[in-house]
Amino acid sequence: MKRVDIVLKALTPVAVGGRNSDPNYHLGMSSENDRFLIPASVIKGAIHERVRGLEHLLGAELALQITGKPQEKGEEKPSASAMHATDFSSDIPVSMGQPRNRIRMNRKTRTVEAGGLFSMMTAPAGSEFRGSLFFRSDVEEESVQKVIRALRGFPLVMGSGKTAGFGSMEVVRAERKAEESQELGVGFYRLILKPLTPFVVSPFGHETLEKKYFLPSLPTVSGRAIPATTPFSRSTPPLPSTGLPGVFSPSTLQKEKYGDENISFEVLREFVYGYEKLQPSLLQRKGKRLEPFGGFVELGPEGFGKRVPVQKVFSIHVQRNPRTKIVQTFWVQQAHKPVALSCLVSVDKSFTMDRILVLGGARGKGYGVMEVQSIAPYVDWESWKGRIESFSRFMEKELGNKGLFVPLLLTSPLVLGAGENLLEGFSRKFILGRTGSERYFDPGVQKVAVQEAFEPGSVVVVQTEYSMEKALETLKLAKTRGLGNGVENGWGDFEVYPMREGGDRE
Amino acid sequence: MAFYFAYDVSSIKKFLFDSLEFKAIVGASQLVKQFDQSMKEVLSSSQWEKLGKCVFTGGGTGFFEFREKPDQLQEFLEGEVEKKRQEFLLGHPVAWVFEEIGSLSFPALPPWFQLDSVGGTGEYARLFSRIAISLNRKKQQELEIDESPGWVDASELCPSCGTRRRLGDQDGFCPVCLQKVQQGEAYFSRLNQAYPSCTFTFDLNAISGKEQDQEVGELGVLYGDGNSMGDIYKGFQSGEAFSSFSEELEGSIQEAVFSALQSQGVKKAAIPILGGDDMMIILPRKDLFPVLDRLDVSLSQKKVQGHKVTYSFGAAVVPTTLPFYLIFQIVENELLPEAKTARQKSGKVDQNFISFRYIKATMIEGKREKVFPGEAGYQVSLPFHRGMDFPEFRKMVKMVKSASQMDLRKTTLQKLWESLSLGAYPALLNSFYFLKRNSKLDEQTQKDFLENVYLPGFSLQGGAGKAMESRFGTFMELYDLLGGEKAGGGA
Repeated sequence: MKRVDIVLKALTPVAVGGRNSDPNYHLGMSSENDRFLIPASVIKGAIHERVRGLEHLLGAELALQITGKPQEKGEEKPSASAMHATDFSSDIPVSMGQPRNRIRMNRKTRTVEAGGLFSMMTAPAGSEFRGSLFFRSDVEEESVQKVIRALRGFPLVMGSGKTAGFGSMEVVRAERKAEESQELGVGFYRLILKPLTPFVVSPFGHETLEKKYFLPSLPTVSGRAIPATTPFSRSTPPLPSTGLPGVFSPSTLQKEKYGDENISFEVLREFVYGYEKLQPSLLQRKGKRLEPFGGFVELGPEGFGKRVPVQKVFSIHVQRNPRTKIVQTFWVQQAHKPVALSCLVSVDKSFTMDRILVLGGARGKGYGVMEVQSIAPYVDWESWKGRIESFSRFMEKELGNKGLFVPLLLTSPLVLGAGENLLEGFSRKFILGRTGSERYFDPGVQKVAVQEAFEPGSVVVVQTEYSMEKALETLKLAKTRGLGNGVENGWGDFEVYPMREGGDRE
Repeated sequence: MAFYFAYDVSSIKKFLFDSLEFKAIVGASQLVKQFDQSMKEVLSSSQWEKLGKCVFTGGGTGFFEFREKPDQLQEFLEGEVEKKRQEFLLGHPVAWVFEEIGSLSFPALPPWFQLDSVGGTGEYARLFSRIAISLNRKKQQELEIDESPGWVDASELCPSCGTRRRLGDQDGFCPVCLQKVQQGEAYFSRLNQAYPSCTFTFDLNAISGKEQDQEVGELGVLYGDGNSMGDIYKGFQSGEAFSSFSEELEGSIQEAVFSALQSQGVKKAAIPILGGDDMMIILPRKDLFPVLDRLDVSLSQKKVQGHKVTYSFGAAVVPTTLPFYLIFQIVENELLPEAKTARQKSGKVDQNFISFRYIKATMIEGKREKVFPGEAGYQVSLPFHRGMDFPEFRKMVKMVKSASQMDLRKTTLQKLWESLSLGAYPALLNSFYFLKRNSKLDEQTQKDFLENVYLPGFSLQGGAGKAMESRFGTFMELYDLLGGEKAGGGA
């Protein structure tokens, strides 16, 4: 990808909608983390408009390359745009916004019409917005420069109130950045991606309910998304993370019901003990009821960390009464823009990795642009030995079961037939978790596969007769390949559960 | 020495919510009720009637107590569960156990246990916990999946669940979702016959009273749930006591709900959930507060078998354009926990609590918190969703109405809002000026507003230190709802 970093400066107040905005105003400027923001889709729209307008200067071929070919009737897939944009963010806090009122005059009476006052929250003139444009590698350098010149020629106009002079934006800086890429050798890596725009992944089932108004999205990306567009041979599903690895919360991680969401209690030992000894207890702690922690949690070599926040982003498409400006109807696209996404990727053949990936659905509309934040060989299995020893000690001391026991935490769905063992040499003792349905589209048979699977977050306890070294070797191999069926979807990934050590009752 | 047969519908939430069609969700809970009811009667007029009894069924769980455990009895019960799960639960799995339980005194838990012991509970809770752990173990043992995927053409997927193949016609549901939908419709028909003064309907536009040419209609929605029920259940010494308490509780909630709807003259409504200690009602927005008020009063007066039961409510006025899925999320998942948390923090455990939001078009989240940084030490946060007890909520509603009558206008409220962005100290000073100049608030109302709503507990002398939590967000939303100027109020 060819990257150009852009700084836009508002020449007039600007009110670009489409993303979280203050609902107290009729028209509001989009924001994220309390800072004004212009969504990538708006930037792309304004640039496409400019490129189409200057098609006679840029040439039809380049214009088509940048804007992409619109889908024609009967055509399966339109050609994609060769340019992606990031969200353009500003340093201006929302509290510095300028409320502006507009009125509608009755042309006959020359007075303000009843209900003809409406308010908008704008980012003030002078606000600067920073972001990047990415051009596909097949776009010539000269073409990139031509497009940039076209953007710098005169202000871009975007957002609401254009007729009243709002939304005039000048390109004050356009800096062509050197291509960033990295040589990757054969291996198994942890990849951390930073979303530059939100991503959209359709869940199954949910999208059809009242589709007219609400398009939800899963917070995770499919494991197929990365191998589909890059030379990586396999990837586990990218999961929300804080920059540290994030996993689905295990079924044994609990929190106080109606309590502070960040207080978590890891009760694997309690669940295993109760299960083995049929020893009842109450699912409460110090009189307070517990419930599954849910969502995602950090998991590093030191064990479980903080909850991973899953930031939902709502893009709101509003239809207003043209006279009163009151909302008539709207539809909402839910998307996600976590701090980072984390997954494990396999490289079977060395290649040069691009720093920018575009993943998930609605890619043509500006969603799913990701930057590689880091990629490093996977090393977390170095902590496995200690975890297995600790769990096996517990099984012997508290339950009198001698042997090597491994608590596996499923970090992606697992498909395993009835009675089958996960791995040769390992026997399944029990599963603390649940099953669910996974769905994916197989382009080979052109059909949707609906597959039952053990859900990520389930804990599977296995026992092995192998020595520790042999057990570790087998588990490491399984980690790189995946367990069970559907490993090409990134399924069958696991971690060894970091059991709480010691910790007498407080 | 006794033998217990117990069943539990596996992953009941999955059964209830895997179809996201409104009618199907209502229908699924009806099917679970029918399953429980049919299991309750399973011993009647069978040869086993005199050997034991049904102790309890409800919420997809049930158990029976027997003096003996002949093999044929186990076969009979196993067969009945299988037959009835096919008939009512459309093949959804049900786990069951049949085992002997002697003593209910269990060894002490190891010292590292984080979970509470059943030691201090009544006999019934110990028995139930013991059976629950057996059921869980059975569920885990039976946790198997079909390893071969089902291949479905994308256009053939059921539009409601998205996982099963739909029936022939283009818009059809799969057989499971279809049956749930039919059950949902049948339940509302039964309600219409039983309570003719109110029409129970799935048509949310009709409930809102939205005219065809009107823009977006609005609905009132409430979700209520009993507080600390576990603490009450823990004290029971026998299954019968628990069973009769549950029945009486459900009956008293149903009575309170339908009498509130009738007494307030509610003409159209939907009751998606009414079972156990849960209730969800969708009704015209103008009826929301009167019905909540009535529910608070009538539920507070009732005692169920000597136990005072309090409730928490998540309530909202929402636009008709909001899908049911999100309406449910907002009231049950976001607002109800806020009411519960506020109750716990306040220590007023004998009060009903409420968390309320006025969700306007283009707003899709129940929880909303605005934080104004202000000067150091004078930060102000405005959680719009913060729970409060009913007396406080009533007081705020009353204050909004009187302030509106005393010429407190939206423009003044906007000035007050903007003042908060400067921090608590300047906001308080500015508020005196704006309220004096731009409204006719009497001294008492102004004092109440400043001390209880705008900056509760803050004073010009030494108010700094931690972030102020203002109730102004809720006040503004109530103002918009209850007849603030040009708000189309009138609730």
